[in-house]
Amino acid sequence: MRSTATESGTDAHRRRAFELLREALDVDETARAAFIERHAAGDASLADDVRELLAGNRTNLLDEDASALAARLVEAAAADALPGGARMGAWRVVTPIGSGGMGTVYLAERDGDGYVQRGALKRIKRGMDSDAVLERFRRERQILSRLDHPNIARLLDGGIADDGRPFLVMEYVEGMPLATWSAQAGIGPRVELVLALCAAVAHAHHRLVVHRDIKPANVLVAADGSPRLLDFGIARLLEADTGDATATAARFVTRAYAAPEQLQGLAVTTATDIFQLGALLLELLGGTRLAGTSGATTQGTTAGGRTSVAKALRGDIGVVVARATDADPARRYATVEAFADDIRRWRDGLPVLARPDSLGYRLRRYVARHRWLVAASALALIAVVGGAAAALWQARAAAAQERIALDRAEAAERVKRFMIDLFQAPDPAHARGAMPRADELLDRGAAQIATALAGEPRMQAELYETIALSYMGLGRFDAGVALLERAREGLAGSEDRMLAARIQTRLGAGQAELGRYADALASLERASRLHASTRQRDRMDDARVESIRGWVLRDLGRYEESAAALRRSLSLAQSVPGEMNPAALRALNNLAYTLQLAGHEQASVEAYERVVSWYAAHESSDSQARLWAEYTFARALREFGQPARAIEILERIRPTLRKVVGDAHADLAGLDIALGLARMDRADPDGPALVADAVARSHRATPQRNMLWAQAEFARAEAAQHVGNEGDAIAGYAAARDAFAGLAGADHPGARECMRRLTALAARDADAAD
Amino acid sequence: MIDSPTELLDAAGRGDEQAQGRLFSLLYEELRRCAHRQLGGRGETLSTTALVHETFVKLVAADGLRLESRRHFMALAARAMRQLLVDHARRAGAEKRGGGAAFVTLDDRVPDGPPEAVEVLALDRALAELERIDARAARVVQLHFFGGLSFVAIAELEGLNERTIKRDWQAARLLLASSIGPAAGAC
Repeated sequence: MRSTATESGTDAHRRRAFELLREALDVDETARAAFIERHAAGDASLADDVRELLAGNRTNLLDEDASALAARLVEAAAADALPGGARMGAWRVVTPIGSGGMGTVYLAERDGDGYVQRGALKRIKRGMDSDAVLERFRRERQILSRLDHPNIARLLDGGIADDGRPFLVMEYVEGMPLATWSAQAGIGPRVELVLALCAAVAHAHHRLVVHRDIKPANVLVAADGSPRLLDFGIARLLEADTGDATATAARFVTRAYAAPEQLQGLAVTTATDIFQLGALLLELLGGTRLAGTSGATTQGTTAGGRTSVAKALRGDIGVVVARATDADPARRYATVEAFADDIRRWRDGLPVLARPDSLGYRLRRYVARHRWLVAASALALIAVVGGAAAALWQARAAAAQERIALDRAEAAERVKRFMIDLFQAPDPAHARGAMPRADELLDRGAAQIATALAGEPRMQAELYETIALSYMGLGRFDAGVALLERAREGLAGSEDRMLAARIQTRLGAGQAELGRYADALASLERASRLHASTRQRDRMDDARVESIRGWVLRDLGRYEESAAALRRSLSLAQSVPGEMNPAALRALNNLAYTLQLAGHEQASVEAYERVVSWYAAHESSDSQARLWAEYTFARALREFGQPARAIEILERIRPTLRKVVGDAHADLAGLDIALGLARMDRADPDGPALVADAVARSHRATPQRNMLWAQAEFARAEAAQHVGNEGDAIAGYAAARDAFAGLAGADHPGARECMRRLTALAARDADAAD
Repeated sequence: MIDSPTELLDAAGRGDEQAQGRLFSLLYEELRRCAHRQLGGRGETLSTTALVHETFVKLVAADGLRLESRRHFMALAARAMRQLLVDHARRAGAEKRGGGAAFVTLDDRVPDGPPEAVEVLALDRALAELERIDARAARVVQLHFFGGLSFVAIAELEGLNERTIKRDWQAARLLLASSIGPAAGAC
């Protein structure tokens, strides 16, 4: 790049070179080479340096006039000053409101249709007004004016001023600088702010616009806390048309926030914005900047280093930031949405997708994720691992006296290894380092059990059971049932009747969820027989079987048999009459529901009230069982013509349930269906729409045609009928009838009720036709 | 406290450093004003020679100045012009991407400075180096380039013949050129 003449060697060497150069200039050009050779006196590097200096004779800065140079530099440094009242196109400059690298920004106004519109006006520097640049300016301006998002400050106008310089007018945002706002904002609002920015950037990316200069100075926060992203696409707009990609790419971006590819002059893509959003998130959450990374990343290394970022922000969010700011654009999140999703996962306590995670991490997250239904089974999963370790320890303590202990220890060790492999093994399908989702993990585990634990049917069965419970917690009853069936086959002839009975019980519950009621009743019957044949019979096991049998019979519309089974369950669960424990409460809650469907209003309400009042006194408001009891009670109240009481309960527990199960869960949809129906009863015009929306969510969460599906469909038809949409009502009742009948026969009360309503609607149609 | 440039020049000539400093500031400001004024000049820019001369006429009464003082004034004007260029090149942010300097993490855009800004700073550094190697040649560059003085005038100031001054300039120009790169600026 530069001559080494002044950079190599000492001052003495340079002095001699300069002296020789001066003398050589006195010599006629043709004789210079020989002159230099002679006077360098064998010093080859001296002769080289002088020759090189002479060869570098070309026009340079020193041939210009310093005064003209000064004029240009003074202008460049102090260019933008515009007096108030100056006109730029239709705009009137009011006052300077800030300055940035592009120059001064002015508040400007233009007269609109009976109002004065305000804007933030920026002038483009001189030297940026070549025809090519102006042409691109026009083109890009059109693209940018298509951006229309509440979190993007819009480009209002742009043009060429009288002095030939282009100017831009952005929407004038009255807001606080991000730094000022964040100084007094909590973590929650900061995260929401970044998510809003992500939405804005995603909007632009879908319109093929990349911001490429996202940084705190380009974010203003409105009074309501919502951010506005300024200068969208402006960096691109201002890029000069030159062949020197490096110089152009790096020219208009802020170095402290530049992505490595920008500093290296490589292609700028949507991944660049993801990097900058990541840097912004880091700064907002950790209070530190990704600064200093720019220099370090030019070698293609990790930006800031995954570890250092991860350390700066403890926990998952550090991993998320590290992923977003990876030096390699290809290793960042593929889209802004994926980045935002991971931020949300972190916010909601779900496992983030960015982590190359450890066993402990995955288990911890797994438990947090599935609190509602799978907490117990996830804990069981841990218990298997933990229990294996405990067994191992016990075996060692027992000092290998008993062969059986050794065998157990060995088996336990294998289980442990299996679990660890399961949670850690890299999956070729996820070569980019993304971790599988929980259910994928379960698939992998289920597939490996047969080979990894060959010859250990008991261990296999326990793991199948554990994973099956997790599947069912995720709503994948078919997969769960398939595993339980495999476990049952493995245990055929096993002496462990307790385990076999437990598998049969769970299988019965899973089959019932799938609507396979006959299979369910058969499984439960086998479970009962196994229990009867064991020596240490546990009443609680029988209570569980009877409770499941009770709701299978209820679903089948056999209410009297259902009530009998549930009363048996209740008394089995109580060691003394009237005692309340979780199994007894479950049985009583179920009994209340059966009595409700059977039309025994008073007995049903009494049972519900006992359950609800016990929970209210003994369990916290976010307890799963308590929420369930209150929800079912409210549903019953609506059925019994007390929609106001139902609404009061449902509205009270909804936020808690939502927090516990998440937005997409079938139980939340079920609650909303009940709430919508109750509001409908109260002539609330929003009721039917809420029902329709909740049914759609319920169907998404529970696509299989089980009782839940049929009931939701029935509700959809009710809402449609309520608003006079008879076509939808008929279709809904028909679909519900088919579902009820398919599950439990045409005599099922649900199927019969559907038929009754369909007939009534048809009769009304006929009347109307007459 | 003396205020008139003529008196300041006299005092500076007697080695009064404070007076020299104040005179330098006066010169600097006057040159900046002139440079700025040239913007509106519709293409018609004063040469450095004319500019410094105008400044001289404006600041110090032409009458009664000894040659010594006049020489002092020109040297000071050249220095002020160099400082002006360096300051504004720096203000244009050229330093941030110039001369292989490490990236600095200032929260500022790399500005749209003219490419000369980078070269001006490179020249300033190279000239400082030349001062160590050959102080006279460096002086010649400063007076000729920044002060707009002709070789004849410099020869007169230095008490040397014009040919020597011209050689100094030619050699220095080649040496400095190797440090600042071509004027087109794709260094």
